[in-house]
Amino acid sequence: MLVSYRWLQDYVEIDLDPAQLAEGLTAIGLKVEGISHTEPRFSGVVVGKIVELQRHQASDHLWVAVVEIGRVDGSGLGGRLVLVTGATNIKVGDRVPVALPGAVLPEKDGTSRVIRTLEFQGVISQGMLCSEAELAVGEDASGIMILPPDAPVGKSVAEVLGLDDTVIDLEIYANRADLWSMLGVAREVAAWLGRPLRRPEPRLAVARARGGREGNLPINVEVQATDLCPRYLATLALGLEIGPSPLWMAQRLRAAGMRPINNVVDITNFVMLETGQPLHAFDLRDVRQQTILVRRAEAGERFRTLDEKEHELSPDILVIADPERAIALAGIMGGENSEIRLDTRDVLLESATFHAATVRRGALRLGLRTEASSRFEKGLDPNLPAYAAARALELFADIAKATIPAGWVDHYPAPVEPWKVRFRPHKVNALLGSDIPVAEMKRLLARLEITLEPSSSTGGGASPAEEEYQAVIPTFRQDVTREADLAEEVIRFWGYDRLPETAPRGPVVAGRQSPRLDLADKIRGLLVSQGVSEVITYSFTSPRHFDRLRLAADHPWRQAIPILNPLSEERSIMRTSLLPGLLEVAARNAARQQAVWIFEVGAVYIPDELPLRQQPREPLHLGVLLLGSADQAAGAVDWTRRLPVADVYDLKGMLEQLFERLLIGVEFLPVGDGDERERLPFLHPGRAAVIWSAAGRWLGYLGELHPEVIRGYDLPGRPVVAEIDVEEVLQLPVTVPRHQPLPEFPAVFRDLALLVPKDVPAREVERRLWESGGQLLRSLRLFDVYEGKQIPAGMRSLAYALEFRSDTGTLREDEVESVLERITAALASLGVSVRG
Amino acid sequence: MAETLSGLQAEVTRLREEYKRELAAVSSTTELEEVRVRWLGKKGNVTQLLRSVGSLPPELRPAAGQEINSLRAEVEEAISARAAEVRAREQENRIREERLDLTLPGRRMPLGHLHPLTLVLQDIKRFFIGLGYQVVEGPEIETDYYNFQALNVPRDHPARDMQATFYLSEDLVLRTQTSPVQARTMERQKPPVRIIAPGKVYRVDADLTHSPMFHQVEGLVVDRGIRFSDLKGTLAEFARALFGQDRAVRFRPSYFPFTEPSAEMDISCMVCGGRGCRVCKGEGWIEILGSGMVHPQVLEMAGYDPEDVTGFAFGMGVERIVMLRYGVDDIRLFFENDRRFLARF
Repeated sequence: MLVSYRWLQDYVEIDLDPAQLAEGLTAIGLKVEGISHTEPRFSGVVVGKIVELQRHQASDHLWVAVVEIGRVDGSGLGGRLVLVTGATNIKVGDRVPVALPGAVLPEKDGTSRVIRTLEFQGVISQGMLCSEAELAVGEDASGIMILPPDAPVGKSVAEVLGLDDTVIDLEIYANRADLWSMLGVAREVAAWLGRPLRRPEPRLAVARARGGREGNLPINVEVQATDLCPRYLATLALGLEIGPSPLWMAQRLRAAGMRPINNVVDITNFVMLETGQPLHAFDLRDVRQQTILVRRAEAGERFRTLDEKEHELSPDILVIADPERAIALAGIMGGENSEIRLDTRDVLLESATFHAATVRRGALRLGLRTEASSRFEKGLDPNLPAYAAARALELFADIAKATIPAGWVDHYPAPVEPWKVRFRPHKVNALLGSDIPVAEMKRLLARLEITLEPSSSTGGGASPAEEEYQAVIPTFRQDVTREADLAEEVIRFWGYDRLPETAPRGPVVAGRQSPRLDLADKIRGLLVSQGVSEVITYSFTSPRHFDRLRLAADHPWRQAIPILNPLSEERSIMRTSLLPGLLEVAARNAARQQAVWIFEVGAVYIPDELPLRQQPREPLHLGVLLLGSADQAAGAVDWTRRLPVADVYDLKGMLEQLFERLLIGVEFLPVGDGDERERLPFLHPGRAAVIWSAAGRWLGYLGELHPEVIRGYDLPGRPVVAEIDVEEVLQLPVTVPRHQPLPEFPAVFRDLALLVPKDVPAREVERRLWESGGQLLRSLRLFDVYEGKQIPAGMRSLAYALEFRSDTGTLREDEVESVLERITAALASLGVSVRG
Repeated sequence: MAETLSGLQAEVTRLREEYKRELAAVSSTTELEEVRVRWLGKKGNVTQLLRSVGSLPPELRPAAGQEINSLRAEVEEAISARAAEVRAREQENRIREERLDLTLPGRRMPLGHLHPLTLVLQDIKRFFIGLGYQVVEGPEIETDYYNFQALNVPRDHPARDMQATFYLSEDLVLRTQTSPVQARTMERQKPPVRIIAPGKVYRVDADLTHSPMFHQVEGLVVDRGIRFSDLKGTLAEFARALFGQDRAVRFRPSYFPFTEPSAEMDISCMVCGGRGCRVCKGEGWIEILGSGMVHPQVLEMAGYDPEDVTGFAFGMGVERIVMLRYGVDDIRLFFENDRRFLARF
């Protein structure tokens, strides 16, 4: 909300500069979002009083005025000036703006001009008399601007008009409807400064309305939707003279960010800004049968608001109607069919309270957030309308020369009374960790118009530790309903900064992470240490990825949860795999010629059924994508060597090490066809594997991307990818390592070059080696794979280094030889022979 | 070959001159080894001379032997002294030749980078784990009840406007805050509660400083006798731990439907030190987190008795903290994952 520093001074005396005031507002919870200084667009214009006025002797359309300007500070000018003008609206005694020679006035196009002494047919004009338009303070260009009769002669017009102002932009929290008003803000400022609040007291009896009908007004109010309209107060103002608003009011509206329209509309807006109560003025001619109905709109009812937009209504929208048609959307906007016009003479003034949620929903649905609706939807005080109506009527009388017939029609069946809230000072101090004396609490609350009554339950004799009060809450403080709310009021004005910093008391508890978060952090650390960088991508993705990944129509990944109100198609479903996000990141980087080794640890979203009925599973996944070489990807390229471009073995080795360090046994197997999860059409069929736990639980896949997928994402090279279900990993038993004594006896090493048919996987060969090697075989390490010259077609050579050792003594040559014989025999049955 | 003692002595004298000359001419350990063999080896000069003693008359032999042995000792000593000199010179030369230019860059093991959000999240977790907090999680796809109602935000509450929500069904939303973990935790366990809950949250919003997905850390402490001043003490220390001991910390009143009293915490701007600049919009202060005493209504809904226990809760946006700490000015960078961006952290 925009708060004019000058305007605020009407309600409370402030002897602080705007910056200090802003600091104070922030300290009591009226967060200052910005401070802007408004300045007049002219300079060198002072108040002058016309002392003589004559026709120009040589011209029949010019006048010569002698103007008293007193002493003008800092200009050396003073006394009386002679000025020539063409305007006819002035008379001797008027106070007018005088642009002195050297004054700067604004032009319409944003530039400015300098006023000089000018000769008009023999008479020298020592400056210029100005219209509102010439000073850019109003629209009126028809004559010289007439200043109030008490404007001090010689004083700067900018100052007299209050153009020099500071506007403070306040963030008002959703629970404080009362602060959407100058008086509400002023009340808090007054409480903070300990000064009285200067609330205008309307002289009209309407301010005392508390329901019922008073006087003899020829209007009826019938509230049909009583649940949505706790109060509807209608009054009349007759014989209005529509015209421009006085300057002071126009200035205030502008400072608050509203455009002045005419005095009637402006008064309703001004009173809304001042009190927080939105008002609406209907042209009485347009209220048929002079009867107001407050009812739900009919389904399909059409209505044109005064911004000339057509709306289709529904029964959840409340309308103000006459017996024939709707004339306003309650609490949101008036209708074109009843708006104030230039010839409006009589108005029906509405000052009402509407159901907050109904206004909010209606405004939201119709796309009509207005100053009025944003106030109503926060829940207004039903006791406010009478005061606001009285204030507006008084201004109608004073400014628009209206006649105000005595009386009102006030539908207010259940007047709201101040309520009581239990208040125990010791409990409040205990909650706050403070030691604020009861008398101080009383004083702070009293400034907010909250009074404390001794509670009947404790009586007078209670010890201070158990003193108990009933706090009486004024109805404009709808946010205060519990003791904690009062505690906040106390500490707000006592000062958050005066509260000590303490530590919570309580038992000693070791802090720790959940196992899931812990595992995720471990995985991150292990992958980073292997040269892979972490990425975080959006949880929502596009269904278009599924086609690019060659997924069949019934592939499980396509069972993704759609977002009902997505930002775009690109982010319209919840991801079921981390792969699309990684591919996007890879593509983005590849477009900039950047290799990437990346991983992400994050949830995917797996619904039990679609459409979604209950919360889905959100298993944590690990996704890895390697594109290019490790040194390029890590930005670790140096001048001494080049690392090779990543292939599936890099990725597999990385995952092997990951699981080893996590102390989890896994198996990498060829892709089978027994499980839904083995449908991996986005991988190169000959370069893919699946990962199962030793106990047979699915963990994930790895492989090179299918050439068509690589093309689809416009990626260079042959990226490799893997995805692991971390949730499954979390379920697996961890094998805690046990220390084994270091070997006592020396090992014997033998290298074995094997000639292996190509269709026999290395895994099979190794299994035979272990089986036939017996207890003496302690380790085997593949050190060479070779195909080509000297190797028969359809075969390859696998070379292993075998380590033999006994725990009971140094191995003899013949012992090793006999094991090797067993091994050779076992391999032979696989079609594997020992070379050379 | 000497056949008299004096002849032998003359030979020794000659040899003494000769070995000195040879040693002086030696310039490498290889040459020195040649000299040693030539003089002290099996066929070396001194050895041969010693053999010739046999041809002397027996009575002269002891004196001759002594003479030659003393020569031998002398040669041995001279060679080893010379060897030290030669080795020292050789080492000196080698060291001179082996000089490397260590202004050339080093050879790097490829090492990855943690995402900046993870880095800061880990710092935050470390602080609270140190104070005995449990780090827990909650679902990102939440029910309307936990995301709003259990937090004192009924349907049609204006506070819902502050958090434009992604809907997955009438009742399921992408959580707009990590606060639902508060209600879930309180339903699951009895006080004392001390948790933080990091995680992703979602709002319908996208510009330079707003992302439709971002990260928050929620905190909740509930026990007998938890005070507003405890909130202040805990969070002020947190701010100093994360942003530096010299940061000024300010608490000011605010509003959240699920806390009362509520407070927002600001720190003095780390860019301008509080004088006012572009980063702090001239205010000198930067908002870090929202907090407050758990609203009694929220405690009641979770089955706690607000007369018996009180608590404080807080929530912070991780992106914002990362942006402040590292001077990142566009939130989208976090999710674009450009390698050059990630490599800075």
